[in-house]
Amino acid sequence: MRFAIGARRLALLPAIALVVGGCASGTTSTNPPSPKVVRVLAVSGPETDALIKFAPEFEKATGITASIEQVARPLWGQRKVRELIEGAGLYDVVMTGGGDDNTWVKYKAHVKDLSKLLPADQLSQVNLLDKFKTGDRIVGIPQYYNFPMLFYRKDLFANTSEQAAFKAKYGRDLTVPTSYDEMYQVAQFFNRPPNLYGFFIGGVDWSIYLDDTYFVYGLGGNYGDLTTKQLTLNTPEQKQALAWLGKFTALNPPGWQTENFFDGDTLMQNGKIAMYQNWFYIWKTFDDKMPDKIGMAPLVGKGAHLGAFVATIPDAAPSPTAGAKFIQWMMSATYQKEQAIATGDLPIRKDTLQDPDVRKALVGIEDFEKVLPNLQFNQTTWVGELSAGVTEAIYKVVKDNVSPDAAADWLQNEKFKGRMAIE
Amino acid sequence: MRRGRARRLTGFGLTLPASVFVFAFMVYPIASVVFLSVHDYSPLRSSATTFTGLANYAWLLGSDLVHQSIWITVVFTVVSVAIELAIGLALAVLLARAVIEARSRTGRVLVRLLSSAYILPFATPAVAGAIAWKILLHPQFGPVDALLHTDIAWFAQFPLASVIVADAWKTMPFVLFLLFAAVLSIEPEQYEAARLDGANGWQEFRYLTFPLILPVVAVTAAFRAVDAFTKIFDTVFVTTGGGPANDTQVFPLLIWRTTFDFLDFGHASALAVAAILVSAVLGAGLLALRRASTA
Repeated sequence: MRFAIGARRLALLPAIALVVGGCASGTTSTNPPSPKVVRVLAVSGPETDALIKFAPEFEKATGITASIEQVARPLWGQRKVRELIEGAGLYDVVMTGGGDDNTWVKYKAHVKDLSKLLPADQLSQVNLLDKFKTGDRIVGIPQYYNFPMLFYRKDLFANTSEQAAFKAKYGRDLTVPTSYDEMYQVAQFFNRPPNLYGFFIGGVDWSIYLDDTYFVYGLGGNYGDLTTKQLTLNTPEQKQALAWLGKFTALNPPGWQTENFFDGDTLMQNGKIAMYQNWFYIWKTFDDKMPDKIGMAPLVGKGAHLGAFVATIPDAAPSPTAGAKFIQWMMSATYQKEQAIATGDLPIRKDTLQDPDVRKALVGIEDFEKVLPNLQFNQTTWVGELSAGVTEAIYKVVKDNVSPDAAADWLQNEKFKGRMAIE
Repeated sequence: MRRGRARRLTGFGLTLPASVFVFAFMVYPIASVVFLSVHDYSPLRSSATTFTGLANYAWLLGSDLVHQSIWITVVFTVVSVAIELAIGLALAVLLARAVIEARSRTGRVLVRLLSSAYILPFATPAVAGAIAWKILLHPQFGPVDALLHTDIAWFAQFPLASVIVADAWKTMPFVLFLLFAAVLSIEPEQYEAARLDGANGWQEFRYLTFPLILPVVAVTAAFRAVDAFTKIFDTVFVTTGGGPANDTQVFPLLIWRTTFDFLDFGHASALAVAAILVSAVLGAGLLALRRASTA
C-alpha cells in the first residue's frame, strides 16, 4: 500500500514539473522561442551528401542545428506523401523530386507559399522558377539542376577510318547526332556484337521509363495535359517514342532487360557501347578518367527530363521559420557555388552560373546551358503507377512484337481507361 | 479471495508487456491492413479514406497482373523447394555417411570443415548473395559466360530459372542441415542389419533412410514453401527487379510496389490480406503434417 501511494506521488512529479516549467517560461518572455533545430527529409545521394557536408556553415550563421535525415529512395515516396499530404508534421523541409513529383506537389501537397517566406532578391536569381509555381504561389525551390545528356565514344567518332567507312555507307560525315534518325544511323553503324554494341537502354522498369521520358519530351510530348487534365498516352509523340525505344533496344548488349543506367556507365567505361543517354552526374567520372575516349552532347530532342531535389515546407511543419532559413541558405550564392564544384551539378542561380570558378569546374557547362531552358516534368500526379504501365507498354513493343501504335492505344484506352492526368 | 485476486493481477501484470508487444506489432498492423483492404486510400488521388466493401478483393480476383504474379510465385515456390529438397537430401545423406565413416582424426576434421562450408550461402545476406549472382551471370563481364564461351544473359533470357537457382543456392543449406540431423538420428544398428541382409547403398536409402526421415522431409518442405511463397523478395528485387516485363514479379514484390511505388494502400492491403491467408493455409498444412508425423 505504501508503495502504491509512493508511485502515485512519483507519477505526479512530471505533471508538476510541466506546470511549473510552463509558468516559468510564460513569465520570462512573451516572444515565440527561436527555433533550435531544422528537420530536413532528404533522399540518399551525392546532393544530400553536399547539404550535410556544408550544413555546418548554415549552423554557424543561424545558430540552428540542421538535422538532415536521408531515406533510401524506395521509401522516399511514402515519406513525402506522409508529410505533404497526410500532414504528419515531422519535418520543416521536405525534399521532393523535380521531374516526377512536381505536378502532385503543385496540385495535391499542403505546402507553404515560399514567395512569402523567402526574400524577393534571392528568388529573382533562381532559374526556371516558374516551373515551381502555381499562379503566384511558389511551392518549392530546387537545390540544383541535373538532366540527361548524350554520351558517346569520342575516340571512335574521331577515328579517320571509321569516318571514311561511315561516309561511304551513309553519304554524310560521322558527327555527333542531332536528330533521332542520325542517332539511329550511328548506333547501327557501331553495332558490332559481341565486342561493341550501338546503344544502351536499361530495361529495369524505373530505368526504361526514364529513357521513355527522354524520347517523349524530346519529341515534344508529355504524359498529361495540364489544361484539360487528360492523359496523353497515345499521342503521335508517345507512339514515336515507343517506336524509337523498340529500334534502339534492338542494338543493346544482351542482358539489357534486367539492367539500369548505372550498368550503362560500366558498359561505357569498358568500351562495350558506342552511345547512351544518361544523367550528367556521370560526366565528372568520364571526364576525369577517360577524357579522350568519351564525349558528351545535349540530347537530340527538343526537351529533357528535369532532375532536381526541390525543397518544400509542409503546412504542418513544426518550424516553418527554420525551414525558410534553411532554404535561404541552400539557395545562397555561397552554397550554390560550393555544391556545383563538389557535385558537378548545375547551380540554380543565374549569378552562380556566371561565376568563373563554377564555369571552370563544370566542364561542358555551355552544353548544359543549352538544355536548361528545355527541361520538362511529368504532367501527371501519379507517376509511380504510370511508369509501371509505360514499362508494360514498352515491353509489349520490344518483347511481344505489338506495334507502337497499338501499345500506346492499349495504355491510354485499356490500362489506364477512365484515369485522369490530374486526379 | 484477496490472494486469488492478487495472483490474477500479478499474472496479468507479468503478461502485460508481452500482450502489449503482440498487440502493437501483430494485432494492430493486421487489423489496420484488414481495415484498409475494404477502403480506397490512395493519397495521390484523394486524401479521403472511402469505404469500398469488397471492391479491392474484386480487383484482386480480376487483375491479370495479380494472376500472373501468383502463378509466377507458385512456380517459383514449387521448383525452388523441389530443387532444395533434392540437392539438400542428397548432400545430407552423403555428408552423414562421411561423418559416420570418417575414422581418422584428419578425416573427421575435413568432414566438419566441409559441413561448415555448406552454411556459408545461408549465412550470406540475401542482397549480397543476389549481387554476387548478378556478377557471376553478367553476360559481358561474368565468369560463368566466360567459362562457357557464351554471352547468355541468364537473368534476361531465363529470368525465373535464374532467380530460382540463386534462391535455391541461398536456402538449400537450411534444408540440408535439417535433413542431415534427421539422417544422423537413425540408429547405426539399423544400417548394420540392412547390410547383413545384403542391401546396397541405394537400397539402404530407398527402404531405410528415406522412410525414416520422411516426416522431417515433409515438414521441411512445408516450412520452406510457406517461406518461399511469402518472403521471396530480396533476390528478385536485386537481380531482375521483377522483370523483364513482370516475368519475375513475385507476389511480395507486387505488394511492395503497389504500396511504395503506386501508394495505393487499399489494393496493397487486399494483396497483403491474400498473402496472409495463403500463409495461414500453408501454415495449417504444416501443423497438420507435424501432428501426423508425431502421431
